[in-house]
Amino acid sequence: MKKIKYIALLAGSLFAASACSDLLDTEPKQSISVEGALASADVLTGLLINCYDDYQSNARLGSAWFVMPEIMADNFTRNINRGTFGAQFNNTLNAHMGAWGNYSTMLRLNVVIEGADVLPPAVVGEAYALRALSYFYLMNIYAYMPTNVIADQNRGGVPLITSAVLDIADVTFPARASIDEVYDFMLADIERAIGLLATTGTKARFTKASAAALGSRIALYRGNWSLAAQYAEDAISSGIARLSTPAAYASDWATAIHPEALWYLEFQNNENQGPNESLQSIYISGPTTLHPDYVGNGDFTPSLAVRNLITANPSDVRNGILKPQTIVGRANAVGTIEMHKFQGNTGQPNTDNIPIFRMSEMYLNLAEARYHLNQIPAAQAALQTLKRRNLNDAALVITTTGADLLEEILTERRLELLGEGHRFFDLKRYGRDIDKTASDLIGEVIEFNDRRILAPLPSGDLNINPNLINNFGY
Amino acid sequence: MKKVLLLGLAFLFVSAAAFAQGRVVTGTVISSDDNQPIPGVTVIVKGTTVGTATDLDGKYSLNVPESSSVLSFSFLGYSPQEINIGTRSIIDLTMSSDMTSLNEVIVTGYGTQTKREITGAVSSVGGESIQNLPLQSFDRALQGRAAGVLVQNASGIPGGALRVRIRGQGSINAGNDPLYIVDGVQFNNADNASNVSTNPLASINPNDIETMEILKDAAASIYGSQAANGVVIITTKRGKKGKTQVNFNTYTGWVTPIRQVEMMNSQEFINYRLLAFRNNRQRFPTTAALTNEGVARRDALNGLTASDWPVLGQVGNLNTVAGVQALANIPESELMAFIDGLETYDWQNEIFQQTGRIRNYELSARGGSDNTRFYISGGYNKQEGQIRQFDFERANIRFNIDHDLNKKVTIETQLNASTILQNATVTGGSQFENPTFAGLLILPFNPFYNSNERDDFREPLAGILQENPLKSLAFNERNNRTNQLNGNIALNYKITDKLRFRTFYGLDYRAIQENRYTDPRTFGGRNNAGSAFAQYQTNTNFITTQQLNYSHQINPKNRIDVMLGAEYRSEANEAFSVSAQGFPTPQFRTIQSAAEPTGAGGFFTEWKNAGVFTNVKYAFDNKFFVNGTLRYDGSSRFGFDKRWGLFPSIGASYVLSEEEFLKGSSFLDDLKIRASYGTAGNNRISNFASRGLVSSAGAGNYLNTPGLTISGLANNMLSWETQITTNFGVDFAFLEGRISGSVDAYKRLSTDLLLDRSLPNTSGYGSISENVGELENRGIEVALNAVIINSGGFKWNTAFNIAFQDQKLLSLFEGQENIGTALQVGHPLNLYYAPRYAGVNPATGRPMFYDRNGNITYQPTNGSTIGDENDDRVILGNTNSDFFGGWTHNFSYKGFSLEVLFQYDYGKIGQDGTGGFAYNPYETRLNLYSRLLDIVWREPGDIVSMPRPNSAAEVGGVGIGTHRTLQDLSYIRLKQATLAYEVPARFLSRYAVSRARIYAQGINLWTLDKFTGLDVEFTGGSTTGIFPPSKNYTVGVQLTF
Repeated sequence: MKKIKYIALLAGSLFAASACSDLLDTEPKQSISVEGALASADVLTGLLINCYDDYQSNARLGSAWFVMPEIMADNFTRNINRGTFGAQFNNTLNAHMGAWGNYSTMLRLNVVIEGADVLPPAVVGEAYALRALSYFYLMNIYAYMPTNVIADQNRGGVPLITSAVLDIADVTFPARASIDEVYDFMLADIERAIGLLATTGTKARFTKASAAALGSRIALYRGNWSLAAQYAEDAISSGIARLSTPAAYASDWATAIHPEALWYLEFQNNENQGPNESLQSIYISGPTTLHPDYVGNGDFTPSLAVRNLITANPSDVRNGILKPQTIVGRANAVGTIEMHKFQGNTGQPNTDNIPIFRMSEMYLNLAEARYHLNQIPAAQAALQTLKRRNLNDAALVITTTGADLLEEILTERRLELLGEGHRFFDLKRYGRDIDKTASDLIGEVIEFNDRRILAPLPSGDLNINPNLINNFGY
Repeated sequence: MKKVLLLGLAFLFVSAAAFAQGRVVTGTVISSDDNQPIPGVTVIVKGTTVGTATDLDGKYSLNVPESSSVLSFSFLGYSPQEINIGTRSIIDLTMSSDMTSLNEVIVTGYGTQTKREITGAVSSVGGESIQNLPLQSFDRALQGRAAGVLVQNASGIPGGALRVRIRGQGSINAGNDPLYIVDGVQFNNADNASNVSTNPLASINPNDIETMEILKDAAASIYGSQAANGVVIITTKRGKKGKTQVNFNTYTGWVTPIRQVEMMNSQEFINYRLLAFRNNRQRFPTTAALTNEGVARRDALNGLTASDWPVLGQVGNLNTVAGVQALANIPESELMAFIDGLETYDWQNEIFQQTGRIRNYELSARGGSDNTRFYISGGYNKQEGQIRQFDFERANIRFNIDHDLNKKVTIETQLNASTILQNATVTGGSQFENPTFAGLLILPFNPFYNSNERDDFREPLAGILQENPLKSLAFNERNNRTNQLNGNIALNYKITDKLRFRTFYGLDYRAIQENRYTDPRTFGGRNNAGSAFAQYQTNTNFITTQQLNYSHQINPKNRIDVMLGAEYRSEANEAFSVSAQGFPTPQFRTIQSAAEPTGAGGFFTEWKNAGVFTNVKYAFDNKFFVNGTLRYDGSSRFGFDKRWGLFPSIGASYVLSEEEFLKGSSFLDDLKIRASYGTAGNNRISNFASRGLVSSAGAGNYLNTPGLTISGLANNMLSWETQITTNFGVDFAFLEGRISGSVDAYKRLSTDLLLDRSLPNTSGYGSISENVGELENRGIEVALNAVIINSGGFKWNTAFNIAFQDQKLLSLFEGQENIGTALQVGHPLNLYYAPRYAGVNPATGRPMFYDRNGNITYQPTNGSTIGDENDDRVILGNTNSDFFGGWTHNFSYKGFSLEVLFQYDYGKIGQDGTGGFAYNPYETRLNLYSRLLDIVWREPGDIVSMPRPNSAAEVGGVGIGTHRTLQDLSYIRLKQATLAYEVPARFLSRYAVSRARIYAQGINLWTLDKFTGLDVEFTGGSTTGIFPPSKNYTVGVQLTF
């Protein structure tokens, strides 16, 4: 009898042990549950910080969005050192730029914007500016520019996601908004951002002036010329950046914070972009001022046409950033002209602090917008300021008018913003063909009505979202 | 072989006092296995109740009544024998172990059972059959030896990870590895190291293993939510009562590559490339012919410079039309003379040049007294790879000690401590420094060195692969030190004769220290003055099991056994890591010498499992058995709303040969049929898969400010995958055990499959995991053993097994018919889906394909969904085997024996990943397989299988290379051959050696296959850059004192 009691006790205690449910409680240490976390300003700020990091990636402004719009257009020739970006250079069908990943950034931005109550206004302003930037690149890549839409081939803008998805019930299957709707939304975000952002602070994060610079480019792409001019002037007059001087034009590219930068992406030493996809390695194979032992890939070097336009005038300050490769055995032959804008300005090879908006662009935006507003003298004045610096000629006077003036502005834009990811979009804005028949491009003419002007939408979303329509020809 | 286990269970016969007049018979009983005495053998005078049992030295003494003339000897696991006494007073006997007998004892979930009782499908592999194989982990030895267990290399590096699949792949997204249990401790077998492929099971010395049992069906259900992929139970050797046996064991050997692939030489390669670029320039008919030729020549010579051929320096800038035209104007003969003069450097041979060494030393002692038994062993094993810098080194010690505290209480302990050092470099991908990738594909005109100095490595190399792998191998370091401790303690308390209690505590602790050093002189290290990475990781796995066993013989015919148990397991995996860069000189190789820390990281993750379970067994008349199990199991991995589940199983068996109508048969020895049905769960999902989390892991920082991310949407209903297994089996033995075996047929239905429901990326998420979907695996397994010849001292045994498998994906999300192209409802998993290749158009050399209507097309399309009106793709096959297995032969004559194991796998297809680069008519900046030369199209009229060489794919369209590069991965391989000689005892007696065995052994000696790459044995569908297995030769000596 005693024995049986003893056994019962033993058995009972065994099974009681497994009956309590907290036996299985576990909590991760490098994560916290979403519930409750989003009421914390620190958590929301952490989410915002990670959005900047997204834009640093090589797939975005860290490399791809700087290189691809150049090589898919006519600014660079390819040295077949390896396969990287070869398909984009050849404008192979389906090999294009991509920005769909911006939506995962947008999730965090929407969470931050919805948590505005607990946040300092400037952080919310940054979220609005980054959201505008996110849509801007989506639109540049997947949609026609408002200034030149081929109506028959237009499938609209991109889906507009304006609120945070934190529950499976919130997941939607959105259709593409119209081009105008997305531009309206972006410009509204810019306006909100400017209202909230601080005027000072690090230029590595968004400030009032850099939001205006972004606004200027968005408005310019939209063809909202007065707004483009207005934002450009706001950025120029902000005082947080200045034009480089002729003498320091080349050396400014070797400084950690470019004096012209309104907003730049800052890279720490532990954020090295690596020898495969860094801007420095893609553009340069040989030694640079800052790194005499540098070995890069030098996949893309300025095309003959671009070089001729610059070398035509020996006093053009940009001759200072076109340098011949000097070491035998590097990927490019000795004498190959390489572009030295990105040369490891952080002091570490393959790592540049990248200026996203520069003062020079603001003068170009201003000149172009004034031209379209038919304010010719103002347009000439803006161009003149920039060209005096660029040609190191304080007495230079711009006299061209009409279509010639526009061409002069666009040519200056091509040269000044070389390698910074503008050319493809600038041609697209004006509905121009991409002519790659030059001897050093050895390619074809891609007409503006070619389907390859727009990128295909990702098949993943197309497969599961019946409301989403792919671009023309895909 | 089972006697150790049996010892505890041995039925010690208490002899009835015999007062009758008689005579005394004495003798010694020894085992034919090792000529050692067997204690506990039952000796009975036939037809009486008079009997005794042998003592510790195998001796017995028995008073035999005058009227009796026959003694009967029996012992579990050995064939019973009856001996006529005649006039003898001393009867010595050698008993042979009874492999086929239904009385063989097998370890099953939380206990042991005789084969007779078993109702499920259990394969058993004895420790002696894997003895002294030069394999670092026991799971590798299951290959070809257990029916239905597919073992594939995840990496061929010594001590590397394996992929073990029992009865096919039952899950798509959750894990498919079986549950490993070593002496009652549930092991984590995950390869957690980031540096080198590791295998936690390598901490166990295979020679310490007594048996391995594989529970393949509902027999595993008692392990609940962990059991869906089957269970592998490892039992290590235990002490046994008797004289202490000391074993010394050593072997040594050599490791060589299984094969090399023939690559193009410099002339073949450049001429091929010239042809490819010339063909490519035909795309520009309006460009001047001279320009086209010049561009073709320029690109074909890419990587060669003016120092190789002065002409290249004289023609001017080759990026201009003038330059390329000047190059085109060089006479063809001059160009050819230059090409013919190029040297060829065989990179593959240079990299695979090493003959690795194998060394193994072991000492063990096994014995015991009346109340304490021990098995202790220590071992050292070192194996180098067939490529420099790859090796595996292990030292381990084991203490297995049992002690009887008193008649009621027994304590068992096991402890294994091991330390493993593995050196390696990057493998398993298309990395520049991966020797098995770059070694094949580096352009052949690249010299290894700049001069005769062996450390003056050439770099950068011409072509895509600029890094010199010889240099990286020589200068970089990458190693793992794994220190592992696994042990347990159990206390058995016999409360009454019928009721026993067992309490068990086990620990599996592992610390992995990883170091990586990228030398500042190497390609990867030159831009940051070298870098280093170090990580320290621990895995702590605790388990406790409490068990009550009740056994009741209701009457002579009916017995019931009831077991109740509870179990708790928790496992935490934690690590920290640091990386740094900037080393003053290459002599400084540890992280504290670095100028600048570049990162600090770490992680923590844990999970817990708890369960209560019961097993009820009923036996009727020793011929009919029913076995039911039930487990209520919970896991922290599952969603809050679905944490606990119930997993039942039931099985029955019927020993037909016990029935009177068969008992008299002289032909049939044993015949048993069995059936089982049960459910089990698959909990192999990530520890926090069900949670919506704000996470810092993987979230980027900016401006040195930490970032956070939102990792996934929560799913509180996320739970285990459920598996329902049905099994029918027959066990048989004929002709006095000359032929025996078993046949099993099964169906595994996996339901509630964990699938990722894709979400539109516009939501900010990629997918959410949900439990839907069904998958069915069916198959037949046959295992046959036969004694083919047994006469005149010559014996030929054979064991053959084969498993046929069929798989079908039954459903996905409602309305969903496919995930990607590899998963389609109604078909097996892992499909290849691409347009069918129609060969090369003999007129143009362009590749042709069949469209959906069976017509020839140059540009196949995939439409917008699978099977729509524009989809030209078809199912070409899958990576599953149709059947696989092994065939062992044992020949013995006098002291000589020869064992050979053939292992085979039939019906799977896959791609030669490295060959995707090298066996391709379109790629011209990597070296190519030389077999390509004979099969590419060159001129109109050529009827060949490969299109004309070109520098870019000739046609656009989907998956155009897929079908062309698919290969039959069937093979048969001579996995093992061992020739051994047992030195006769008469030569040994004066050296105090009781047994001596010498042997020579070979692994992977011969293979029949059609694969084009380095080796046909690999996991999954593609082999890009994986480290292939090796061919091993060893010789060894085994001494028992």
